[in-house]
Amino acid sequence: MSFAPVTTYPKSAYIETDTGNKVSRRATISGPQNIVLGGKSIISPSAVLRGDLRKAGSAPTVVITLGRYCLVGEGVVVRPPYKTYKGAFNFYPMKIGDGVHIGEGSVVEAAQIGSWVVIGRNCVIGKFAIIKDCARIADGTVLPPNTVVPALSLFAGSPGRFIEDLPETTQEVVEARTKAYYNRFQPAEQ
Amino acid sequence: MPPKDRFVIHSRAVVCSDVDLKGEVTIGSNTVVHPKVTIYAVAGPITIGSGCIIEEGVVIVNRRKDVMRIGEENHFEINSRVECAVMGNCNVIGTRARLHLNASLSSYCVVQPAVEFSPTTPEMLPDYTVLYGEGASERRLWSGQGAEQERALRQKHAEYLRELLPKFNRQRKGDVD
Repeated sequence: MSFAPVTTYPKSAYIETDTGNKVSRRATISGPQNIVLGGKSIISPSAVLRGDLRKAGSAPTVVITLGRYCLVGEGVVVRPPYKTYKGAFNFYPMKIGDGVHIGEGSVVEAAQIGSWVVIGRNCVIGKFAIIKDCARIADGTVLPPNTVVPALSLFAGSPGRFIEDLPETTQEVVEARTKAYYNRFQPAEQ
Repeated sequence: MPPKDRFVIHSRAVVCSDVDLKGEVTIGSNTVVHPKVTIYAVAGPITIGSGCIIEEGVVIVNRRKDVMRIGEENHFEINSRVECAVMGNCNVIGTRARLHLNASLSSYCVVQPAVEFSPTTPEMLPDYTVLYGEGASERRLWSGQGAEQERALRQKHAEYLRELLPKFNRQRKGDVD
């Protein structure tokens, strides 16, 4: 357990779902029917989730999948990537695993983000980037489109490059930290 | 005194209702404006040509007295900020890139993501310039190879969005048609 103080928020500022997701009322969620939140995830104010940018066709599709214990920071834009394939323009769904923290002001257009990934502030994650489990993206990184970030690696800079390997304990550390963050994020007593 | 608000939006343009407009703004046909975009014509008017794509969080400001002309089929990516005087056609402004009011773009220029271009004296970038690196420190000319494919992608992108956005977002119309 962590001894850090509880971070409080006014109860009316967030909507809490049955599965424990906390979504700020000031966040922009377009096409909510196409977004799946895994539970116990936090969406901060002025974040933008673009669930409306979906694949062509009338069948219901999931555009953004978010795992458990995720944190989408303030001003983050999460939108699915697009490309033309065989001459047809399309958006492609985006999957984000468990315990992913995305820092303030980042823009994420990745195809896939694994579990226990930490993305710093003001990052730009290019289209169709793939970030594997337990990776870390430092603050202000610009990952070019189609980058693959291997598991347990730290990427930084513009363009984002491999810096170092992370210790094998990363998963436990990040897991504990993300869970503690969620548990500490409590409504203020009125 | 700030100019009066006057929005002219072409009937074939798609402008989401969650867009902040101020001053004299003209938006051309087939242009797509995502939600959360800010377009402020503080001093002079802003004219945006046809077929542009303006993604969420983009800020377009005109602080100069004369008209800010933005050409056709330009792509403004997420959270970019543009104050430049003139812009030609088919430019790409990357995610979180910033263009200062001294900068002008001609055509087929690319400003890479997170690049801040703020020249001290007014500067016009020639056709096919690519800006990259910290603070736009590096630039080179692009051969123009694949420009047609890029254009085709842009057109398909705009066409797709024009169909898709009205399904999920409310649209806003101009004052006059």
